[in-house]
Amino acid sequence: MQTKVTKTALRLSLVTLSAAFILGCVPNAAVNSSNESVGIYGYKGAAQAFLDDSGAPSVNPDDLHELLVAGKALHDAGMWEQSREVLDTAGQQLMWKEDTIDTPSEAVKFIGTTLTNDTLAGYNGKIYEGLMLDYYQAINNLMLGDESSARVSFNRLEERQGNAEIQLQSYTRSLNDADIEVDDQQDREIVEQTVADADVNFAQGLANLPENQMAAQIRSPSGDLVNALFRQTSSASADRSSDRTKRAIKAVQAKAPDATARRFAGALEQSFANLKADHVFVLYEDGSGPSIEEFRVDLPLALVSDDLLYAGVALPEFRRGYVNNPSLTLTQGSLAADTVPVTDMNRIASLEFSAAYDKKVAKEVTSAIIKTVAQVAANKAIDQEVDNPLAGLLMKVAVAGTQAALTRADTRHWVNLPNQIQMASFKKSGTEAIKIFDAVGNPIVTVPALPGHQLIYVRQQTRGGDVKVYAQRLPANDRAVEYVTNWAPAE
Amino acid sequence: MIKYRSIALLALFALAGCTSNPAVVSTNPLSGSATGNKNAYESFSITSTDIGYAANEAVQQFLEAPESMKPGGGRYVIAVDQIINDTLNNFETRRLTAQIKRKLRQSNRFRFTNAIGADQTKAIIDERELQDSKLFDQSTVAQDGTLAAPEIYLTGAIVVDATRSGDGKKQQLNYAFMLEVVDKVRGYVLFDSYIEIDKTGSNKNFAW
Repeated sequence: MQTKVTKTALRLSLVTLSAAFILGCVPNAAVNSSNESVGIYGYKGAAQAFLDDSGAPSVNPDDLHELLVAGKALHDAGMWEQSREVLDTAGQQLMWKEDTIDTPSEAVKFIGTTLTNDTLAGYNGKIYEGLMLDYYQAINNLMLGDESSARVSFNRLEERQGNAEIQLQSYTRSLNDADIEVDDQQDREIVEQTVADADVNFAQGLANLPENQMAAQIRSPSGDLVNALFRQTSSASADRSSDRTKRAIKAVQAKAPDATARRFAGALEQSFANLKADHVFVLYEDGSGPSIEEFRVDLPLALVSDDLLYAGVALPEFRRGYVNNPSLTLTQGSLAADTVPVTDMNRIASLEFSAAYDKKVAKEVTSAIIKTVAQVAANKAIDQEVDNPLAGLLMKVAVAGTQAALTRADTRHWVNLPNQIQMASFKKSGTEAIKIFDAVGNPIVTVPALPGHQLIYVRQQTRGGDVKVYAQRLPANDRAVEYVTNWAPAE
Repeated sequence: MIKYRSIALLALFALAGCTSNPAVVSTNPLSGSATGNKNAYESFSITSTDIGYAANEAVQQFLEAPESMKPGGGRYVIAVDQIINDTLNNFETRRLTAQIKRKLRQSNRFRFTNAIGADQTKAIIDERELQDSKLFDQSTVAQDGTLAAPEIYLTGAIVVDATRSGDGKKQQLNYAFMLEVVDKVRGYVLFDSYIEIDKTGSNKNFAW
């Protein structure tokens, strides 16, 4: 779809949109500070921001961004039911499958935010966020001992994983087809020349992307591997004989970007052949995931017009997450095993970012043209109609301030995802307890060896920070048990 | 190319709800799309019409098969084993088995036991704990060795595969209701049924 914007309409709409900006863009503090809250109050403390006094979820059901962050915060805190409820609501807003701009509502949203900024539009979600949503729903159900619901969640995850690559390609194609331009050739040339003269490094936003990106890498290997694990340890023989296990393992072996993940898939498949012996499976979420920051370039005003107080461009910049423990070590008697990274959230999250980036730059330049032209026109009108020079200047400052405020990059993202998901598996050696150590050998927790197969689920965002450890017997028919660590929240 | 002045018109369309998925077409012969009933509800999920159709078909096929007649006469004692929902939607499989149980029982060839299996009635086992209680008249308490073990089991799965058309505009969900009746001594499958329902619709949204 091509999008052309007329100058008159833009000018008329600026005032209205300014009002919308003031009314509509209230950042949610609990969402933005979720990671910091974990550092201070721990996972349970951070999750309190999304609960009411009775302990029920208290989240805006229309705000997908808040729902995702709240759902994960509750998940991390082991509040599986509440997390499931919140992510269910989020899931209803992440149903889109073909990501193209071909419906009227999508066109309105896209054009509307060209005039202002993306943060004014409701959060639409990302393809990979749909994957992760169903992944966490599956684990919520597994931790609750609800095999039947876990099976449905894993099926949805499998469907999303299979569709994600196609969806990403479709999204990229759709963006490439979108043509954002301004009618007035002179207006466009003025600001484009200004941008060129300002020597803006538009590529800064892409500086931290992982290398060798391919659409197939949007698939989450840990999603496939945990799905396979669920099938093989399920209480239903139909699960164990289903070819879904083979499909999931093969998907990792064929599509995972890292050799470590591909090797682990092979090792896990081998352990499935020997499930008469009890096994321990470990799923570890490490560190804090990638983020999006804003970088902003204020353009040299004199190049545009003497009668101008602000012109600028705001763009998103991809920032990698940080590793906390490159691996955990687990011991049981003389036996030792290390976790290995299977999912790199940086790679998964960066794919849509890089696909959309060029179009975001084009959109921001268009946006700068629109707003700057409107500002020049408004200032001329002030000069003609306001006699008092001071009052005129104040009005011009207000107009410039509006433009500066409207120049914002959309930095919303699912802030509390991990940087990496790591896994390990080993055959149990008797009934001795299982000890878990961090990357520098500090003990984290001791988990009793439960009868049968056992999944140990660990989450740590920062070294020395709160760490959550849950153990679930497989097949999962009862609620998982939480093991308390030595970490204590700040007084 | 869309001019800015057309935004209001587009917004009106959006508000009017013209972005919703078009109708889903089902191969279930009882569905609205097959019967021409435009007011009938249809979705990608399994509907009550689908459950009724699958239960009827399975029972009818089984009753027509000679394996449903117990050799030497009498009625089979049958229990429901696990029937799993391996689809994209949460769905209570007991809604299917309850209909199958009722129809099979009405044929007078089967007795269903709830002493064991997926439909186990917990009170049957709890009852045995009253055997030494002085509170109860022991002649009214179920005694040991009185429960009838099943001779055959009903088991199965409801599975789905999702496919998309070559142009990516349509998706199809292929449901299969796979039910088996298994002899407990030999493990032989006495009977099996495979009932398919395909649902086709827009590929715009995920089908759950």
